[in-house]
Amino acid sequence: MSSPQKQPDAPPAEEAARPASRARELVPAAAGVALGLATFALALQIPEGTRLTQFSPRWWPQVLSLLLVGLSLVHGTVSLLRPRQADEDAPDPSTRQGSLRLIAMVAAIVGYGVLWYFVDFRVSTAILVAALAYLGGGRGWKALLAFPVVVTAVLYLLFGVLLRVPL
Amino acid sequence: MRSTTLRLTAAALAVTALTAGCADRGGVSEDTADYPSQDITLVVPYDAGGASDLAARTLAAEMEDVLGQNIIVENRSGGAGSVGLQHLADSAADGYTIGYLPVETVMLGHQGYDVDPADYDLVGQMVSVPATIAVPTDSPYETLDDLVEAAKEDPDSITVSNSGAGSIWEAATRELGEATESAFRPVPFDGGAPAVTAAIGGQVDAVVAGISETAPAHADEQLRVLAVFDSEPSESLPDVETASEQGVDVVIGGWGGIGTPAGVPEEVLQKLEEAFSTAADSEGFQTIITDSGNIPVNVPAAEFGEFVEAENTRFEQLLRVED
Amino acid sequence: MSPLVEGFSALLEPTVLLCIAAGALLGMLVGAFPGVTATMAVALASGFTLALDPLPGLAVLLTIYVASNFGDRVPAILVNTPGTPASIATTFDGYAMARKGQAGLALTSSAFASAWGTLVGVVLLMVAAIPLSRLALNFGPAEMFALVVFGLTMMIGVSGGKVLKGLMAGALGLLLATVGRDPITGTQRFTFGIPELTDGIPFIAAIIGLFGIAEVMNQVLTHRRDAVVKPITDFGRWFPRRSDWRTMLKPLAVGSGVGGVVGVIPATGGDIAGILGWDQARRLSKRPEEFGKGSLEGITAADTSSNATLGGSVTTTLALGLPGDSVMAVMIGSMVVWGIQPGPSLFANQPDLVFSIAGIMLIATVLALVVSVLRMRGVAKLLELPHHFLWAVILVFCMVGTYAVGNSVFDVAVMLVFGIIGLFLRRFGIPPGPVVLGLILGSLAEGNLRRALEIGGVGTIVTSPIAVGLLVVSALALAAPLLRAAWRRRSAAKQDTDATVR
Repeated sequence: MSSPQKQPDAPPAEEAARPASRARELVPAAAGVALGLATFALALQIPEGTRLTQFSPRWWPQVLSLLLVGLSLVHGTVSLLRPRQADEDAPDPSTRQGSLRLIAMVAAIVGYGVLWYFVDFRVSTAILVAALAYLGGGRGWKALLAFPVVVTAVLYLLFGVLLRVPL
Repeated sequence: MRSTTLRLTAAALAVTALTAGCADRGGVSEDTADYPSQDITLVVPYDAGGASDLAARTLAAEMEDVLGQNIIVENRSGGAGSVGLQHLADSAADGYTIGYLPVETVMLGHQGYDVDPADYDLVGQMVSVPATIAVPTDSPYETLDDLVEAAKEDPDSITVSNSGAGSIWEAATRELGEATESAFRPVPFDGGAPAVTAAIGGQVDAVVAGISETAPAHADEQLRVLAVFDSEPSESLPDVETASEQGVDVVIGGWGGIGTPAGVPEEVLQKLEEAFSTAADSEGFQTIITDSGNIPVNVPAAEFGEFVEAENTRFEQLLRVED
Repeated sequence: MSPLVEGFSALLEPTVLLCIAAGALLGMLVGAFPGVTATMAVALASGFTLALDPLPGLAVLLTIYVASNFGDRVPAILVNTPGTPASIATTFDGYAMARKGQAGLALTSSAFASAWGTLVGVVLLMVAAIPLSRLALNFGPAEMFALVVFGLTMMIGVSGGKVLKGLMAGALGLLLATVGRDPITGTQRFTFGIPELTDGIPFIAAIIGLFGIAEVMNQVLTHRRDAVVKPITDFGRWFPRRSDWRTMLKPLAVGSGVGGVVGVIPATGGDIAGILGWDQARRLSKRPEEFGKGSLEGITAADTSSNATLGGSVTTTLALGLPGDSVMAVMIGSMVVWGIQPGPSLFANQPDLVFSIAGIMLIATVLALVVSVLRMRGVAKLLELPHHFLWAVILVFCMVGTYAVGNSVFDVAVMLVFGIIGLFLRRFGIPPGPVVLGLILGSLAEGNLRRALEIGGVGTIVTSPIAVGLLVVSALALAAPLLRAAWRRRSAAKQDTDATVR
C-alpha cells in the first residue's frame, strides 16, 4: 500500500483522468457488443427442455443479447458520426491516488472475507474498519481504534444479539 | 506518533482477539456423554418466514427446553435449498450442527444439484404437507374423476398451476398424470400464492398445492378441493375424500424432518432423537403446526430413514423424465 | 359504524400502544439499514410475537412494516443507498437534492410524502377492500405481462436523457435477470455450476452495489487530498414552504393513484410502484427536465407511490387470504397461528379486526412521521462525519447487512461485483436506473409471457381486455414523446432552416 504522505498535495497525476468524450461513448458500445455476443454464445449451450413448451429456455436470452448487440452498434455508429459535443455531466476526473486507494480498499475487503473464516467476526470486522479508515485518510487513535470498536460493537449488538444472526 | 498508535491498535486488537476467541469457536473435542455442552446451530435451507422456517423454529424452541442449550436457527437460502443442505452436509458431524431436511433433500439430487440423502444422519420427521388438487368454485369439474376424464379426452389441455418449475407440486401433477394415464399441462408460477391466485381467478383449470395453501380458500368457497393425496382424510378438509378413496392411488406431498451431517456419534444421535421426539410431541409444537394448516407428525429415525429411501427411489424415477 | 369504533378502541390498551412504539423504532432501524429488509425483520420478530396476543403481536409486525418504509428513505437520500428496494426511486431525486444542499427538505418532504401515501393506502383498505381484491383476481399471467411491458416503457424515462445508453443499460438488466432457472422448464441458465445463482442474482445485493457501493467507490476514485470534499453540511431549510407544498400537490396525487393500484395487484410492491409513480409524475410535470436532478416533485411522487402500496398489499392479503407481498406472506403465517384466517369471510365475521389493523397502520404512520421529522437532524449528522469514516461505515454496514439476510458470503461478493459494474457505468455515463428496472421486471416479463402462452397460446393475451388495454397504453407511452418531438422539430424547421440534431 502506498503511503499517501509522500504524494505532493500539488497537482495529482491525471493519467486515468476524464476519458476523452469519444472513448466515453465507444467503450460502452464495444463492451455491449462483446457482452451481447458472449451471452448469445452461452445461450446456445442451454439445454433444450425435453418437455414441449411454447418457447425454449434459450429464446428470451437470445432475443435480449441480440437486442444489446444491436443497440450497442447503433450507439457506436451514432457517436462516431455525430460531431463531438461537450458532455455536460462528465464525471469528476479520477486521481492516481484515488485509484490506488480504491484498489487497496477492495483488496482489504477481499482479505476480510478470507480472514472472517479464521477469526471471530468481532475481531476481523474491527480490523477491516480500521483498515478502511486508514486507507480513507484517517489517522490517530480516534480513527483507528475508537471508531472501529464502536462500529463493530453496534453491528454486533444489532445483528448478533438483537437479530440473532450467526456472525 | 504513528508508531504509538499502531502499537496501541495492535494491543487492543490482540486483547479483543483473545477475549472473543475464548467466547466462541471452542471446537474442543469433548466426551460425548457431556453433550450438549454448548449452543447448537439449526440450519434451515430457506429464508426466514416460510412454512419450513416456522416449523423448524417452533421445534427448535421446544428442543431447547429438553436439551438445556440454545438452538440458534441459521437461515442459509439459495439454490432451491441446495446451498443450505450442502452446508449442513459439510459441517462437522459432532451434533452441534443440525438441519431441517425438506422433501427437496430427495429431489434436488435428481435435478442436477449436489445433494444426496446419504450425506445425512436422520433424527426424525415432524411435519407432513399432503398435496391437494383444487379447482375454481365455478369449475365444471365436480370430482377428481371429472378432471381426469377431461385430461384423458384431450391430453395436455387441462392447465394445472403449481408453485414453480421443479417443485414438489409440479412433480405431484406429473405423478397424478402417470397414475391415471392422462396428461395434465403443468404451469409453474413464482411461488405457491400466485399459483393459488391463478386458480381462484380462473386463469388455469386447477392448482396442485399443499393443504395449508388450499384449505383456507376451500373454507371461504373460493376454491373447491377435489382430493387430498394422503393416506387418510385430513382434519382441515373433513368433507374432501382422499385420492385413494376416489380410486386414484397417489400419496404425495411435502414433508420436513431433522437431520445431522452423516457420522455423528451414536450416543449424541440418540440424545438428539430423544429430544426431538419430546419436542415433536409437545403441545406447543403440535398446536402451531396444526394452526398453520399442516400436519404435525413424530416419525422416529428408523422409520423416517425407510421413508426417505423410498421417496428417493420414487423421485429418481419421476424426475428422470425431465432430463 | 360500530365495528369501526370497536376496532379502533381495542387499540387503546397500553400494551398495544407500547408494541406499536417498539415496532416503530425497530422498523425505522432495520429500514435504514441497507440490506436488511422489512421481510427479514418481520420474520425474525414473528418468532417473539407468536407468544403475544394477536392484537399486540399484529401491532409489532404491522408497525415494523410501516416504519421500515420510512427508515429506508434516509440512506437513499443521504448516501444514495436504498435501505430497502422500495426506496430505489427515492435515490433518483433524493440524493441529488442532498448534493444540492437540500438534504433537510428532502428528508422531511420524503417523510410527509411517505405518510400521505400510507394514509391513502389505508383508507383504500377501509372503504374498498372487497371490490379492489376482485380487481386483483383479474390479474393473471397475460395481464401481468402487459403491465410489465408498460413498466418497461419507463426505461426511457429513467435514462436521464441518454436514451440509447439507457436502453443498452436496460437490455443489460434484462439479461442479468435471465440468470437462474428457467421459469417454465426449470433449466439452469448462465449459472456456471454455482448453486447460489440458480435462484437468480440476489436482487437486494445487486441494487446496494449499483447505488451505494458504486457511489462510495466513485468518491474514493475522484478524491483529491487538496480539494475539500463537499461533505454535505448544508442541509438547507427543513420544512417545506408554502410554494413547496404547492409543487408537491400534483405528485402527491399522481403517486397515490399509481401506488394504490400497483399495491392491490399481487406480486408487485413498493419498488415497482416507486419507479412507476416517479415516471408518471415526470410525464405529467411542467418541469420534467428537473427529474433525476434533485426535483422536489420527483421525490414526492416516488415516496407517495411506493408507500401507497402498503394499504393495497394488506387489502389483497386480508380480502383474499393471499399475500400481497413478501412481508405479508410472513405475516399471514403468524395470523393463521393466532387463529385469524385472512380471506373474504374475515370481513364478514371480524370487521372490527380489519379496522383494528387499519388503525394500527394509521397510528404507526403518524408515529413514524413524528419520529422522522424530529430525529432527522440527528440522522443527518451522519453526513458531517469526515469522509474516511463515512466510507468505512457505508462499506461495512452494507456488507454486514447483505450478509445477514441469507448468511451468505456469496451475496456480499455479488454486492461488490455490482459495485464495480456500477462504477464502470458511472464513469462512462450510463444511467444505472434502467439496469435496476430490467432486473426487477425481466423475470416477471419472461415468466408471465411464457406462462400465458402455456395456458392458451397467444389467445390468452389478445382476448384479455385488460392486457390489450395496457399494451395499447404502452404503445402510446412510447409513441407520444417521439410524435411530440417530431412535431416540435417540424415547427422549428419551419421557423429556421437550422435543424438541431439532438
